[in-house]
Amino acid sequence: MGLEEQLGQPAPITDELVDRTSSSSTRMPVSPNPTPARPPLSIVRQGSSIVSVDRGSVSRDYVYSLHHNFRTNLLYGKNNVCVAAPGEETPIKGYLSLHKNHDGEISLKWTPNQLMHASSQPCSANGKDVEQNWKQAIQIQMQDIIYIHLHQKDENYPSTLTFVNCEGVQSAPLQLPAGQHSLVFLTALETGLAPSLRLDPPLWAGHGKEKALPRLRKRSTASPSMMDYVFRLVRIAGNDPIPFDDIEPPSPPLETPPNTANNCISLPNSPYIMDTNVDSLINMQMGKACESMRHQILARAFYGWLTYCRHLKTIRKHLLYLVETNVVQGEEDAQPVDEEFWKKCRAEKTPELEQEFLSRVYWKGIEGSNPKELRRQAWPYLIGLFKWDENQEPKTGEFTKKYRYNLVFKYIFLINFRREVDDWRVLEAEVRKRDEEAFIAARAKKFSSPVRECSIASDVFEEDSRPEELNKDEPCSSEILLTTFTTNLHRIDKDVERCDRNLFFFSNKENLESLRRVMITYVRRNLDEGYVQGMCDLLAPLLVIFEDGNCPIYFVNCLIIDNYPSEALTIECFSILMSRLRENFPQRTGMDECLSNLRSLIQVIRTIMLINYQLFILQVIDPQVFSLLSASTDCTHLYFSYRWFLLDFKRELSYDCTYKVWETIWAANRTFTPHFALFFALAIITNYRDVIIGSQMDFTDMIKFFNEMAERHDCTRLLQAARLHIKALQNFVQQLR
Amino acid sequence: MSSVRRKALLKVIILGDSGVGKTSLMNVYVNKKFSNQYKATIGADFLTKEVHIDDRTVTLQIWDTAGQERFQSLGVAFYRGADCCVLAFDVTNPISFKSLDSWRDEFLIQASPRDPEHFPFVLLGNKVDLEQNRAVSAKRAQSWCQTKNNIPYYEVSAKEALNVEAAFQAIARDALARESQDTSDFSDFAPPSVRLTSNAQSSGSSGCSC
Repeated sequence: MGLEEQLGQPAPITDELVDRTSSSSTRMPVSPNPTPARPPLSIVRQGSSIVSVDRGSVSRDYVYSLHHNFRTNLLYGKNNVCVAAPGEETPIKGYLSLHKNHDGEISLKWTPNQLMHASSQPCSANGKDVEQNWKQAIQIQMQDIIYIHLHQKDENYPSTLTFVNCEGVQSAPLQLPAGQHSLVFLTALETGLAPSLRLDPPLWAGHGKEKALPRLRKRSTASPSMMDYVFRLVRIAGNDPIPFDDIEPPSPPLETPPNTANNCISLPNSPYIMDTNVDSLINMQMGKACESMRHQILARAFYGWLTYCRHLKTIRKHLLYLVETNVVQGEEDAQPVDEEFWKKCRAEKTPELEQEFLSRVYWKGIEGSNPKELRRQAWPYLIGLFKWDENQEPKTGEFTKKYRYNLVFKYIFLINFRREVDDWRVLEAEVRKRDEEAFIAARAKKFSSPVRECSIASDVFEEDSRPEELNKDEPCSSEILLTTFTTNLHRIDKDVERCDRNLFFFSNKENLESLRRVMITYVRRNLDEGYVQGMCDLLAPLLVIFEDGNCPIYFVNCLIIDNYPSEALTIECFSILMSRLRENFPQRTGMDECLSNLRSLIQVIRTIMLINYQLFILQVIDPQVFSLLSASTDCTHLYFSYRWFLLDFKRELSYDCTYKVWETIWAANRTFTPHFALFFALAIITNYRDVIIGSQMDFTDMIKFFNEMAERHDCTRLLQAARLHIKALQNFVQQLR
Repeated sequence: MSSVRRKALLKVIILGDSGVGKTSLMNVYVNKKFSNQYKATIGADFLTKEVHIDDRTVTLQIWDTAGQERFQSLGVAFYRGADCCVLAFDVTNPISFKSLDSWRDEFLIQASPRDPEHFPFVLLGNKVDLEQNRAVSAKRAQSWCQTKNNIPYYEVSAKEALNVEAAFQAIARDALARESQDTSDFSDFAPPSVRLTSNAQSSGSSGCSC
């Protein structure tokens, strides 16, 4: 059973404990409210009629509550302590006990012996007696007490204790038998009061561990035979001892000597008379509290400021130049690019339309009834292959000078493409030939290989010698070229074979061949760069978009009927795409910059968002995520985003989403920021913030999670979030400037 | 008793040239399915599988990385803490066999294991179903293994799920044996290491007809 359950249902436990500790043979009936947590008795004085409790089991329960149990600790217990009852000549004997509950509250109880007996012998007392006894019982909360008076002639005489509460009300004097009982009581009380309260003056711990009453100063008025002490209950704030007046152990002797008779109310001892001391105590405590609060407020403000400054530094150092602050209209009211708008753009070709085009693409993308066809027409302009005022597909018969130029231009880059393909076909044929020879040689060696245990190494890598032999005759660049080309051709063949084969488009062998042709042509053009894995992924969506549904008229005019026109367009766009993304490929610095920028963005996004909170729903990366993502000083912990930046999220998204994200990246590149991908990455992380924190993901979890999320993201939502992130940073940067 | 023991996580890295079948091998072993539609691995991915070695249950975390050597610079992030390195080549592609040395060296440099001499490697020759295209004989592969401190060698086919289970079982054993020796990390393992002799393994399982 958990602790909470215990606390939640105290009754059975209490019963158990009560049963266990009870010496009584009578089994208690289980009452619905066995131990009232706070009996309705504060200070029960003679004549008062506070008692209004059901007498039956409650009285017994009350008595049992005097026992040591899990709710309250019994600090002190003494029987036969006398209290003078009004109208009675002989004081009534009872049981004095001191309890401390789990809240640290101390209560003093005095219970008449008759009540104690009544509880164990239910039948022995009639109702009236019990009621009378109840009236006599005393319960005092020590928190309400300010002074304790102790009177004792010497140890051979009984001592008297009187408690004065903050209202100046004095309890009936409790008379303890002769001996050191009062000292023992005070010791127990002092121990119990700690740490929140203490006795002033404290008991004197002089010899060993034995406590003693403080020594009294010379007294002036009281009879010399009487020892009178006044202890004050002082609240302790913190652990500092309170410099409270002079420490003057004994108070001035009491004016009114104790009396077991009817002197319960003793006004001269009311603490209100000494309110200056109390006031100064309160003032001092308040002062301390204010001081402490001031410190805390200052500390928080300082740390907030410090974090802010650090973030500003990060922003200045890394992020200030990520975004342009020029305001572009559009936003929410922007319409996507559709056929009608595009027609208008191509008809008028004004710079204003170009701006609107970019803005529309950025905010809403390219849609329309046939988005693929629209993209095929618009992308070359969007990506920057064609100038805005260039004509891609002029109307028939429009034979202006400009059109002629454009036609020639396109014709040239188509002619170029064909020439290039023909060029590498020669190389390819040579590679095929050599591959075949090498394979035959390997087979021959495999089947005829004699057992030559002595020269393992040469046997293993025998083929190495062959290129060297060739190099002897022809150490020229053409052989190096062929070797490099061979390596790249093999790589391309392998990757083309497995490029998005699940896509219908690439289930067609002709399209796959088309991909291969463009890829090889590109690599042949940039042989130093060579083929790097991932290029096929970047090329494939472009090829799908530029696939020629209907051959443009100017190509028909040139009697070109193969697939080359779309491939020629694809390779030009791909080259532009690569000129930017190349930097993120291995052995260049782009990827490190991306990861480092992402890291900075994650770090400061909170500050940025907080400052822009009036604009946006507060989307905060907590320090939790940041600490999760920035555990080490290098950026390897962000490698889950490696593929994102390498391929502009192509592997993370479906083809349709890839188109949307790419065109937003391209539009952003020409308007707000060339780093849209960075903000899209940030959007992905913020989007899954709860999952990341909730699962306390580490490096490997993040890789697994994002790999499994591939092609399952809600790209519209992510795009929206990315645009918001950019806007937030823009506003922030504007404020900084 | 066995439930009291700490559950071991064994990290295994598969390395080898692009297109030798690393992703396929991993998927055939873990998911029991072969597909010829796997894309080239970019970055890294991993799969996990619970295996029973004798009376132990261990979790294999098998890491698959990009095959092009240009991506090796990423390796350091993924190779860290590896318990076993699986080198893979394509028996129909002699170049992929020749690259093994560089893959092994690169791994040892980047992962920098405490005892590189005895770090467990396993060699897998994949695509043995394409026997008519074979260009690297089992004998040649075994000879190479002997020069590298007797690395165990397995001829496998991911496409036909041939020998893959056995190979990975041995990989798990090797990795576990190393773990068991590593008393500082896993002091409560029932130890005395079942350090299998590599020779026994390789001769037992690489039953190649040629």
